[in-house]
Amino acid sequence: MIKYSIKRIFSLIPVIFAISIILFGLNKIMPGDPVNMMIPTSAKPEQKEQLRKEITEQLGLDKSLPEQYIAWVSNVAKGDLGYSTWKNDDVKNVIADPLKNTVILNFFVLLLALSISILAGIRSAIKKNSIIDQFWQVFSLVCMSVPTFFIGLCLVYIFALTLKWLPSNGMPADLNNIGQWVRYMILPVLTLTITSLAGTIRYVRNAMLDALSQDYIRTARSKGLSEKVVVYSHAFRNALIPIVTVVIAQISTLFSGSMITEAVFVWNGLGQVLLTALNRRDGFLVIAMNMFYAIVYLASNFIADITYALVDPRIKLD
Amino acid sequence: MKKLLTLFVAGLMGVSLVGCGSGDSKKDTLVVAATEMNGDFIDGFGNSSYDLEIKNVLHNYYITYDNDAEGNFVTNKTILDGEPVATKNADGSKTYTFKIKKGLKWSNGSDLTAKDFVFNILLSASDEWVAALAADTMGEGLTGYAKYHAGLSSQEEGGVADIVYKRETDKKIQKANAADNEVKVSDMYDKDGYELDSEGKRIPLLGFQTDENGDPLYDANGELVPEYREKKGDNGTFEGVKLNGDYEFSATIAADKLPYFFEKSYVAFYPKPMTYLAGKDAKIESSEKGATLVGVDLNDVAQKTKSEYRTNPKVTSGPYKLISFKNKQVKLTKNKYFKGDYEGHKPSIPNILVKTVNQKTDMDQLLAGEVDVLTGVVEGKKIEKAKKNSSVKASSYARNGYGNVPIHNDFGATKDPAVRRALNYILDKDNIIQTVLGGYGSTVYGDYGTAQWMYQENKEAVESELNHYTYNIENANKELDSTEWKFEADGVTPWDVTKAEKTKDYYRYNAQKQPLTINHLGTEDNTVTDALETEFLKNSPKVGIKFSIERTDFAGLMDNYYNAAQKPEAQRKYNTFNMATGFTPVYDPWSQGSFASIYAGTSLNPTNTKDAELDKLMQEMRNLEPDQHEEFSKAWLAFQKRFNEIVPEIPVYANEYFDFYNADLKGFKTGPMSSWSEIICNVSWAE
Repeated sequence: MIKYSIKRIFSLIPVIFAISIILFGLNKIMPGDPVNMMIPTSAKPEQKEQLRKEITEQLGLDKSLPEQYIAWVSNVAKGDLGYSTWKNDDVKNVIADPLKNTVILNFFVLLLALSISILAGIRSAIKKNSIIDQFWQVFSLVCMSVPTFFIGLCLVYIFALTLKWLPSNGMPADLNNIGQWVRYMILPVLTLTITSLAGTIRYVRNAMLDALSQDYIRTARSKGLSEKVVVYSHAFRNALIPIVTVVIAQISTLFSGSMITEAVFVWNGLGQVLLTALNRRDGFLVIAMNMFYAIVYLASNFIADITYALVDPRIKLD
Repeated sequence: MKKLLTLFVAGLMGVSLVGCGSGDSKKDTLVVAATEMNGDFIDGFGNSSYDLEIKNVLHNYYITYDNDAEGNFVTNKTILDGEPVATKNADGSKTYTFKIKKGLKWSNGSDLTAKDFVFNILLSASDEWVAALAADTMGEGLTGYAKYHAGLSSQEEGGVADIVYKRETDKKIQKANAADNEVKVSDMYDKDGYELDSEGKRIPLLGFQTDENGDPLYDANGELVPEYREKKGDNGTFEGVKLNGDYEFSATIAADKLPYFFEKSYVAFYPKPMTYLAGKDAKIESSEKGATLVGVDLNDVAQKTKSEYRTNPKVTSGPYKLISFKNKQVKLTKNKYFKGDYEGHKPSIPNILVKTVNQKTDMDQLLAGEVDVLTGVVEGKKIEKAKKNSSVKASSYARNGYGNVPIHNDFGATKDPAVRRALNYILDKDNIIQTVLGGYGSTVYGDYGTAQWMYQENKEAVESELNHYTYNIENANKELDSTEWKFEADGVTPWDVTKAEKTKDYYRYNAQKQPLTINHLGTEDNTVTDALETEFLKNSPKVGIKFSIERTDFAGLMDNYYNAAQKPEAQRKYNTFNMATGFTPVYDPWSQGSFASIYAGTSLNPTNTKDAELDKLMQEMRNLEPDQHEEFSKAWLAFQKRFNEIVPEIPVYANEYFDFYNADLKGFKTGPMSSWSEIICNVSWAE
């Protein structure tokens, strides 16, 4: 497995390079001039020319595209992700807090969504066609059909504006107050959890139904094993492979999908930063964010492959 | 049973955590709603109006000449020891001498003296400030500003030569420019992208001396005579400002800047903390030649100010000081060393939290008590909702500005003022005010806001003598019949209005068979864009205009509006846009460059207006003494009449702004020239 892991990591390197070249190129052909965005419109004409010259030189935009790309790659290797023309600050400083906020949000979403979806999915499969099963089926269908922002706004309307139990949006004013963090996180976490539950429950249910219909389950039951052992030790373990695929895919989707929820709840996360960076033509920030999402996606695929081997001893990685 | 018990206990814990995190007490903190803050909390950077509010409470109170609620300049007696002394000099310049009161302090308790004012002028007016990518400057009207601001020097002073040549590296733009000039790209540009003249020499752009006609100056050898600039580490000397002691400084307005009706705007200075930004070794040396900062490299100071102080100004002079800017929220707390605004009022609310909210739920949040202040509300539905709720009150006023349709006066059909007037006639502004603003607004007919004193004094004349351009298809057609677009598609047959009434695609053409085309650019998700689209698309066929509308994001709109004139004509597309404009207490459309011919082709005159009559009237308006109130009022009216005649842009609506606030607040009286950050010292919680 270690050999396989190392081989996979090395094989990711050219993929990452290829993605970086594509992103860099796409950013350069995007309409709009980042230098113009940095020059305040109130600048005097002669001041503007001087500013343009300064900014172009500072950002290295007077060099050819390959030179710019090589300079950017070598800076990234040194930990310098570039300069944000929107925030007039280094990219790594700009994304530090939003990255932390998005990870915190998505961590709890993943925890909650996984726990509920696995338990609910197993329950639904065991009690097929029961009221519980039908409830989760309808729930999944409704939540898959409704846009995320709508779910968010409904929760805001009920819990914040009508019942006044929770704040509508924003983040805690006191970052050291855990209680405040919990209050502000409940609604965005609920919104994202509901959205991700929708698909995952059905997947778990179907994977379990498939596993429960196998011959080895009949054998296990006929051997007199308890239903708990049959379901969790035999059926669930075999159902894990497709479930792992979905769950790992969710990790990358959550990061990119939380953009809308962050906008609804004014949560200072990566999604918001990316949206604003695109609108402001902040090239380095856009590239850094997209590279991050690409790496998260590649990493989650890699983790999925490793997890298969852990979950299913029949799978040999070499 | 065990499971149920576990769940119950967990739920109880959760509720208690939620309950514990309820935040600051209402009386301690005023929560203000904002839309977007970028963190540019000093002048010179950014253009977010919410950042501006933060700047105001942090920095802009200790200003030598402040503005009252009507926009008049008032001496700041809280910081000045007596009226500043204004002395007219023999050369026509005027020197203002300021005596600073003793005992003023920065928010960290250190002394605030005259050197801090001079330091801010030296920093903000310097070329190093420009190199830090800052735009706004201070000291623009003072003697020696041009030299100091450009970082100019002389060979004798040890200056260095640095000529900048015209250059274009974008191959597409090179091709388009060459096509415009009907030459080959290789004849117009060298391999490095430098533009060449007819003799194959690089065209200089900056850094050279000019003759009396403004043309590049060449020496006997045919070489450009360079301008000399300060060498690295040389901070330069600013002739127009002097430090006369710990508590006195003076500033001299240049003779060629006078007379100027808003003369006091040239000497409205506020300080920056010199010791904090430049270090203990920094000193200001002052002589007859002017003031200079020594002991530190101004470039380092400018870069530090930009990188650290800009987003985290820890040492400030205003009524509040910054605690943090994190996660789209700004936390401010009272500055105990603040001596008061220009009337001596001090803030009473201990803390302010400015937080970004979702615009879709901002009113609901105000009504639910999550925020205490929500300003700039213009949507009719929101206003009606708030009015019905007794937990909030409103401070309403006419906006000091208006929503408009700016027009590129140098491009396509809109070069012709008659076409611009026709567009004005086909836009039903009353309809737009009803649909977009819910009736909370009014029409304006020139470049003014109804809150301005000039409008108030000339209201009758404005209403009766300016053309209202009330929706009128017949008048629009009359205007267009006087232009080159008076034919049908064959370029010969006269255009017939009766045919336009019967068919939608019956356009006007000129003799060259070109259709009368107007392309409009607006932003996405914008009700004004939607309303304009409805109006223009409905009415333009009736006057034979081929009208199209596109939407883009804000960056795209800015680029196409402000920078179009710098692009070759073949790369331009849009004639009209939808934007908005706002006024400051200094109403000077010349220096603010909006319509002055000298700025045509630059982003300072984005409509590219070039009208000699308008230029003359703008000059007449500004070249007055500050006490020539009546003359200014007359000149203003003449300017508005000319503006109304040539229509460089179409004023569409002047909103009525509503600033809603928690009904438990006292003294919350905002106005067109006084936002919440400027009246915060008058605001308190009711007992």
